[in-house]
Amino acid sequence: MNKERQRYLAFRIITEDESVTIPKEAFIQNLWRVTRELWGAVGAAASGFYLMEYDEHYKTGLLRYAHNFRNELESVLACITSIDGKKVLVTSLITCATINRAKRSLEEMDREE
Amino acid sequence: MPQKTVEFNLTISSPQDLQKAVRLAPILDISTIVIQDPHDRVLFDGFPEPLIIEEVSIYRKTVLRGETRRIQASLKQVRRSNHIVLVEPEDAKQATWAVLEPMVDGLFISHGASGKETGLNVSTLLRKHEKVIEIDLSPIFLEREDKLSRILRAYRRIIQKLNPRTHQIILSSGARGPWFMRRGKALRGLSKTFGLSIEQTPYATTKYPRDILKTNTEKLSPGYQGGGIWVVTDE
Repeated sequence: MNKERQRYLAFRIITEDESVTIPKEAFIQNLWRVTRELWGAVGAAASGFYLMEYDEHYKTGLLRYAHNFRNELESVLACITSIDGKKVLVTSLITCATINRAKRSLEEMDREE
Repeated sequence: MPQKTVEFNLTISSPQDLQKAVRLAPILDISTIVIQDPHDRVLFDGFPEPLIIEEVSIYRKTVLRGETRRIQASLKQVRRSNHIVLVEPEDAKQATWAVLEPMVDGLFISHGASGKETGLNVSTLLRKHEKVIEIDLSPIFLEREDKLSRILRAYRRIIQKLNPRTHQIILSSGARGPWFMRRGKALRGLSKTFGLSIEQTPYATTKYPRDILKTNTEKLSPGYQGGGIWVVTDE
């Protein structure tokens, strides 16, 4: 069995109304609900999804995942269509192998905005 | 370089929706939007964004009412103004007709595919005929757990029986508005749920839609000459 390596994915939540904020807890709840629906409990356990950071102002965040679950994570993010009754579109920005690099890239992107 | 996707199936209902689609396209690495209704083309005029809006449209309806002769006549009319004719079969009978009809380019598989009978017949029929097959992924975004597994199972049944060398499988987000547009990477991840290999998906999201648009646009241009046709002059 190959050793699981961790990877980091930066994402952004786009909402219909830009002033709307999405709470961290609501996002986590939806992330796990969709993961279980699409990949089942076994897939959810193996995925290693973990929300490392989340900025409610910019609606950007950093997710950790097991390296062989990249496509699964993309599919889960694509299937999150609403959070707390608000229409959302979650899109991935970058993937990194180290957390420091991921954090740096995310900060740069937030600064650019 | 990020993979640029062709959004193959977009229905725009209002100028507000259009603005959102144009705003979201670069974020989602979508380079080309193919609109479903030719009337929607007017909505895109005057937008300076570097987004290609293809001036082709897709006919995607079930046209099976009435006599065969009448259906063929109406299909001819459709072909004159539309570049691609995809039929959404409602049952096995309609699927058989669509596969055998040379005027139809391919099948559009959506909610109808979730029916056990249709799913089986479509894949068996298509095995012997080279047709385009468009898989609508929007039910996956919308349906919840119980129905979702049924839809994935139906898609899996169809795709597993097709030969990727002879059948062009197109994955479309089935965007019934800008909020259903998705990145190519997201569609690639979703395709794994019903068994399409990761190597096939760049073709399914980018190459095939683009190829079909290109060849059909060429065919409809006034100077097009089909293969094997010689122009004979008096000299």
